[in-house]
Amino acid sequence: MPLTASVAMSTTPLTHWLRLLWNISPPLNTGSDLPFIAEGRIHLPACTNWHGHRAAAAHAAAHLVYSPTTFDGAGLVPIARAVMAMLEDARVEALAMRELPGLSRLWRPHHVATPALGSTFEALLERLARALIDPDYEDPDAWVRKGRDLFHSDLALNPAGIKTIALRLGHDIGQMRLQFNVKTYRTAPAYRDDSRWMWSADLLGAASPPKTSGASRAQDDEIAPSVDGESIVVRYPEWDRLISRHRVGWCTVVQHLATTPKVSVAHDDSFMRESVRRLRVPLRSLKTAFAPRRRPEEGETFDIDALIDRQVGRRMRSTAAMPVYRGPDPREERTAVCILIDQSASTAGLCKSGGQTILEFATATAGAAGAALDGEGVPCIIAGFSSHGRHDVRVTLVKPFDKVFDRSVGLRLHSLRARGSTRLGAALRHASSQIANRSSGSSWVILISDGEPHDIDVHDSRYLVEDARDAVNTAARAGVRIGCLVAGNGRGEDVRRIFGRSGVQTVNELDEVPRAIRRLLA
Amino acid sequence: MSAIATDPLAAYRVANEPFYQPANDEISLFEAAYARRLPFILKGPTGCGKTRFIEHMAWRLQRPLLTVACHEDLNAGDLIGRWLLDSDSTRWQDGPLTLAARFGGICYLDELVEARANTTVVIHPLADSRRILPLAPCNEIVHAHPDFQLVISYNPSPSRREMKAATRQRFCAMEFAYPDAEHETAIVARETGLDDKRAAAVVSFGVRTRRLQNTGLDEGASTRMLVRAAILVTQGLSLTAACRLAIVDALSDDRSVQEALHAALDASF
Repeated sequence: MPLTASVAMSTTPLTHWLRLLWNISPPLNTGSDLPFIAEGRIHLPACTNWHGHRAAAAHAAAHLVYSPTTFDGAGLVPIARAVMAMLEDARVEALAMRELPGLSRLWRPHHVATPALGSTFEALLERLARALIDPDYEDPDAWVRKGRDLFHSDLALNPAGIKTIALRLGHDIGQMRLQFNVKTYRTAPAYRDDSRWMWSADLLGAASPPKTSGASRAQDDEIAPSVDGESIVVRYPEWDRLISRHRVGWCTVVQHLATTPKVSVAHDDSFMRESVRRLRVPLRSLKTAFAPRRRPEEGETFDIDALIDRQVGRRMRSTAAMPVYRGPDPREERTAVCILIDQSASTAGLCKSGGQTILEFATATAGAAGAALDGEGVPCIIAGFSSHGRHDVRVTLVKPFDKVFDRSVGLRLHSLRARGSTRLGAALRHASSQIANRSSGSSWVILISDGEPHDIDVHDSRYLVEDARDAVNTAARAGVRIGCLVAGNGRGEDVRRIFGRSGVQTVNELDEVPRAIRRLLA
Repeated sequence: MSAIATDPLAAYRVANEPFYQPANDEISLFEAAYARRLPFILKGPTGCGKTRFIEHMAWRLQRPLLTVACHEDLNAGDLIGRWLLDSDSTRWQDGPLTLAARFGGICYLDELVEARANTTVVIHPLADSRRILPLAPCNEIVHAHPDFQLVISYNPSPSRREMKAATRQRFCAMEFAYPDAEHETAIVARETGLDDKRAAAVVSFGVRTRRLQNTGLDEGASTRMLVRAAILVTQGLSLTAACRLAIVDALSDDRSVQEALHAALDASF
């Protein structure tokens, strides 16, 4: 989960929507004062929900689809530039509405200018903007009428013609001796961007790239691995959603064995024992992964003894139902489980229930589940992970396969610290590869996380989500199922996108974990 | 004498021509493969016309078509057959694969990759030069009828199982995709009787939904979905209502995708 202050609103539906409309997915930023476009990125004002952004986002996206990248502003005074920008706005909206007629219902309600607005240049421009988008609006002003007639002529079919019209209308404004203060001018209606992208000389105040907070950087710098014995370094591919390809060897995972702290930690053992006992029931289903699929009344092959018994029963006129088929024999399959703990800095936050941090909850859950699996004889590893860019994904192995779950594992779990980011895809690929070779049947990675992938070198919020989703799908093809227990206030839509609806369970209390695990394994 | 006694596959014959709009030369390619009885894979996204194509080819070639919808609980017995109980004895009942192999039909295994791996391997001896089907439970080897052909279909997707190489390499394959907008409009109009303009509008919205493939949706609206939407329009629904019913609300349960689809529907009409 990002440590930087993130906008409260998710831009995911907006991104989906723009892709549906024009098959584009420009980067979106929210939180600017006014809508604007800079370097192909759409900046939108803060808004509580994505529907409030639709008019502005569709307008800006229409520029990206229908407008040239820059305009020739040579010889244009500020008034002509403002007219030309408004005409280009109207031109791309007309083209967009021709393709998507419903957009008119989105834009037209914003155009409310009437003659009552006055006859300043800004008012006339706003009245002309309405006259161009609203065919039912009749404006008595001659300049507005002339602008509308010119716009509906063949001249307005291309950007060069737009410039010609702007020069004529700008000249008229000059003749009318109307004033224009370019410094105080604001594009109206407010959903339209300020057209700074049109003029190369006007590209002022361009958006700076998203910053990483100082606090996050400082904490990330503090990452120091706890090393005990040899490290394992593995490089994994990463799915790049923009090119729809895997980037080969893109992420480096460094796995260390956690050290056992010298200090002892007080435990509420009775509570933990009860949690372990309750967890053994749902986790028991992993022992015999291949349960009989059919009732004995149905099956592929006859049980000869049952057939003889049935025939004897018939001759004795017994009416009791006698199953005669053999069900598939339950086979002992070696299942392996990896419990993966997200120890990114955001897990230092409190659980919804308060009282303990997400990481404390995750380590307690992992400890109880690890002990329960150990008790059931299911091979299990427990590991934590954090990241600091793609070259440094750190996995801390708390319990290897060959180690019995004992008090030292609990101490090592307790020593995990929240730091770094969440490069989820690389961590999942590593966890999957660790258990894929250990099982002859299905195996499981159970992730305990606050739910949102993030890393310091990725600024596209969907990039790591799609990569993690790819990691889950790849693991599934290799027979490794991945489920997620979400604690805290994670963004549910991203987690469900990664793991699927049935692969996610939200938990905040240890009491809720057995039920969540049962549902996850169902 | 009943029809079944003279022709055990009479029930599986396709009496009327199923409508199929060729996109390229797929009909002649399939006919060439059938002429030498080569096993065939049809692969492509859901609802793009794979099943309709094989129905059309079965009608065109005048062969019975035995279709099995495969699923993860499908076992070998469901394909080859099993012993059943009579009053005082047992009786062998051929499964659809055995029936087709014995009497010369096209056996179409729909979404074969959904079946368990140990089920899939029973088709191997039929899909190579041996063209035999060993029936171990009744100690018989069925030599495939000269007219028998094996056809399987599946939908390649990152979220689905992959076909084993040993199975894949026994087949010729043909990739299906959604038709281009013009062809798809013609199909929707022909299937539903809707006028071309409104059929084109439905197709245009359907094509938009496919842009979310792998970035929100596993798959966009299929041709089958578009046909359903057009049917609802012919029932008197508006384009918006029909597309919402047949496409938007059916495509996804993801809230953000749903919201985006609804907003795109608002913008489209």
